[in-house]
Amino acid sequence: MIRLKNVEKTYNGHITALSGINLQVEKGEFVFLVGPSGAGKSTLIKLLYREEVPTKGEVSVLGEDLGRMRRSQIPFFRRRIGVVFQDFKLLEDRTVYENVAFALRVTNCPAREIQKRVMNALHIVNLRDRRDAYPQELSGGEQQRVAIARALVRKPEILLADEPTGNLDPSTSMEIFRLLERANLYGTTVVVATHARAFVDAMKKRVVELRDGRIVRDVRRGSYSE
Amino acid sequence: MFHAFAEAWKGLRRNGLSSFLSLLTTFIALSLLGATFLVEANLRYMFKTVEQGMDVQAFLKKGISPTEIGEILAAVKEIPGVSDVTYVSPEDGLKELREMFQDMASVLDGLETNNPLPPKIEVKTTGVEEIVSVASSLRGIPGVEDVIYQKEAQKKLEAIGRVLQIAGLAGVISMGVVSVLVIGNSIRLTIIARRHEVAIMKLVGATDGFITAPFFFEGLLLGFFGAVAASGMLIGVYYWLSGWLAATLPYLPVLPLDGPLTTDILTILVITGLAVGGFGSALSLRKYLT
Ligand SMILES: Nc1ncnc2c1ncn2[C@@H]1O[C@H](COP(=O)(O)OP(=O)(O)OP(=O)(O)O)[C@@H](O)[C@H]1O
Ligand SMILES: [Mg+2]
Repeated sequence: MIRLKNVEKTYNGHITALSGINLQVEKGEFVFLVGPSGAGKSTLIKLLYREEVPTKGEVSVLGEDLGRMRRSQIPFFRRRIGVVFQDFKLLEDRTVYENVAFALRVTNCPAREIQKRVMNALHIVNLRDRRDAYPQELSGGEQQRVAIARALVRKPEILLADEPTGNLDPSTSMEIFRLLERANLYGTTVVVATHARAFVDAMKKRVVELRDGRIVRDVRRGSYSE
Repeated sequence: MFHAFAEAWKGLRRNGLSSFLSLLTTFIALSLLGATFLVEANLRYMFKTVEQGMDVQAFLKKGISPTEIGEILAAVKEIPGVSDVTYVSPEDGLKELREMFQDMASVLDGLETNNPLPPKIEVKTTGVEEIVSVASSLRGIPGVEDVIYQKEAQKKLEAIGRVLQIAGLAGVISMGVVSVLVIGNSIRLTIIARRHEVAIMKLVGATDGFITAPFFFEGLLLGFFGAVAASGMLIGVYYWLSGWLAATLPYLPVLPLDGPLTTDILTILVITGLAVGGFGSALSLRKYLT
């Protein structure tokens, strides 16, 4: 599903964000990426949805060699993964419904299908009643749930999340992690970069720890730190 | 498709000032193009009218007899390049003059009894190129005193036409380049304003085509509106100007608006407008989105 071989990533030729990364994630896994600030978690996530390309080594996701992928293929690749960020990345001038529907509109999905699937996704994140609200009218947790609905509405094979609870309080964070876990139960492979120690410890998932751009720990049913 | 148009419209409204400036430059460029076209079309029309008018006139000996006139007409018809020939008697010539000088016809009073005009024949040629050879053949016919034709006037008109054409073309091209740049800038501003949105679109897997279509349509719309405004303005001004010309210079041949002129001008301006708009936005899209 996800395979990185001897991956190195440097920015501007001299800032080394990742080096010597070897990582394999199988279908249906749930992986936490942890590590101090600047360790390279976001960079690793970006490599996985082809926002960045590796400087050296090989990144293969869903059977695609991302370093060699043609520009024109990137949109079609991205439709197979969902991505969630700390800052939600919602379209401010569109309603909750439209934000979620947007992910389907870019794919030429038929209109009747869109309606059904969007309502279903909003149901999963429990926001059906707020479908006509605009992002500014929602709390941070609700906005993140919209982003998750948008990521899930296309039934992605992989869900990537970069500090999805970075701006949220603990009880709201709890809801978000529950949703990620639920998506994982339905078969989606989930990779989450996070600093949320308590949740990592409580959820007992695979933990990959980065430090200065290298993997220093990779354990099943692990915790935030040793 | 509808989505792209709706987005394009939003983009236009978001950058009101820059859209307005693009519209204005496109409008000026297209007006210039249209004006050049109108002047050109009228000059061409004028040449044609002149060409079709009295191509060559031959003045005959005074007091020439009807049989001699008959012989001359027969001889003229044999000249290659002649399409038509008519005899104008001194009396007919005087009538023509009276019509031409309606207001000042009194100066012609009294000429009936002592008509100074020589009899003449008006010869039409099959084309401008034939005028000179026909004129020299006419000179060789006995009974023909003098031959005149409008070669000089013709040449002058053509020279003026050429200068106007070059000046018009230079103006049109420079304004065209300016409009492409200004429209490009307008699209650039929209792209910057929507950078965040574009990033999200890319994130959810929108293709380049899907992302760029609204921006491209925005450029097309600017070109289209500029073309419609310019056509409207030109047709209005032309209507007023041709009316004024018809009243003050009734002998100047002016192309009428009804007929192909209106559709021609609309077609030319709209096509050019769309091309300029599409090209301008394509430039910015290439530079800022890919
Ligand atoms: N676009 C960029 N240009 C230059 N350097 C970058 C860029 N993005 C990241 N870096 C550098 O790469 C290193 C890893 O950054 P990254 O964002 O991956 O860390 P992180 O683990 O996500 O940190 P945090 O927990 O604070 O989000 C850092 O030294 C950072 O300064
Ligand atoms: Mg980060």
